[in-house]
Amino acid sequence: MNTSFAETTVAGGGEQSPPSHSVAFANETELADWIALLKPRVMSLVVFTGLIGVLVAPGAINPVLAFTAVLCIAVGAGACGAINMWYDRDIDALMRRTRNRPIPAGRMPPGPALGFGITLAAASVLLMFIATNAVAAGVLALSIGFYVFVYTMWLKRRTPQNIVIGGAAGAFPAVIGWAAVTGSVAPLPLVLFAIVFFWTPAHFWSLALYANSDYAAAGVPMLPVVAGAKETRRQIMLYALILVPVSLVPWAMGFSGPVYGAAAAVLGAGFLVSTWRVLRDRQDAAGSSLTNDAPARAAFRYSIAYLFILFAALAVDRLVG
Amino acid sequence: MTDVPPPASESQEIWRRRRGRNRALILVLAALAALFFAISIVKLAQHPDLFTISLDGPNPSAVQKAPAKP
Repeated sequence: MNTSFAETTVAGGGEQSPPSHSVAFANETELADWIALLKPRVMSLVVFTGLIGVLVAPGAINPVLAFTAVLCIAVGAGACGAINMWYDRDIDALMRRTRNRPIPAGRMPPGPALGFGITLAAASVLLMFIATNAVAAGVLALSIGFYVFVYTMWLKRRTPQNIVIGGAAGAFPAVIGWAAVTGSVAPLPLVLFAIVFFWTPAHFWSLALYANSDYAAAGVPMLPVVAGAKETRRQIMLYALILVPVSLVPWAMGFSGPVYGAAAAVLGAGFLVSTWRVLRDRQDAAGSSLTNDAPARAAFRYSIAYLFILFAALAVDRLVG
Repeated sequence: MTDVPPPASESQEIWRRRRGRNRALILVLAALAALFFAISIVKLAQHPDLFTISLDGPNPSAVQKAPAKP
């Protein structure tokens, strides 16, 4: 019953006319599906980095305005998720990991999902402007536009470097949080931007290594699909080697104290070890893992913990020091 | 094409979903109203001059003083 929309929207047809009560039934989308459009799991990392941007920024901000700024970052990220699900509904239907999303599963027609996303995007930018300042609202608008137009619509289906450049969209929240407090952009938030930017490829390609059949089925040119697993492992190691020195910059430039410096060094060493294991994973001549990509799975999990702890250490350092 | 009435169980499901969505919408609207109220109070506290209303004439801080005659 609930698949009535899948036939008419995912395939892009629209000619079929199911019985009207089926349409009415399917139109009553579950609240959970509206929430799923916002990609809550992705949102948690965005909210966290945005909050860190607010906490480490110099100066004071009223807690109500700080809360509003973080809320706007979260809603903006959710809007990106909804618009992404609208645009990618055809390839989402082809991938096991995404085929149960509200649109490809037929629980929601695409139009309302797009409207929901655009409304949230506009509301988040407007509220950010009202509550904080034009710089924060402008960077938020830029990040939403970058994710939707540059990553989702342009890069994702065209180049294996999609998540490298598109990763910039996920790196904006710390800058937005900082700008919400100070009304400007300074070197430290740009370093935080760089940390998330160089962290993203290792994080996503670790996932792509063991989910590449999904991407291949959908025709998404992720690096393991286009260049193979061996090259992907090499690139993961390369980005880890760039990330670790970049993560030490806040300490080296005196933006943070020893707590952050020690955390960055220890976590960075762990990151290098986990990516080294990915590189040295037992594999056949074609590069296919003989361990069911256990090191890549471990590296993916570690990368999430890495970013959370690293940024938390920065906040602790700034608040205590 | 004539409409086929939905079965009772489907109708109940529609109402259940609609009720859940409406409750969520009420909560979101109430939270938004509270948020806008709180933002207004904070802004008022930060820029009291902008919101001063005087019954005795225009807000003195909002009116530029004319230069004194020699």
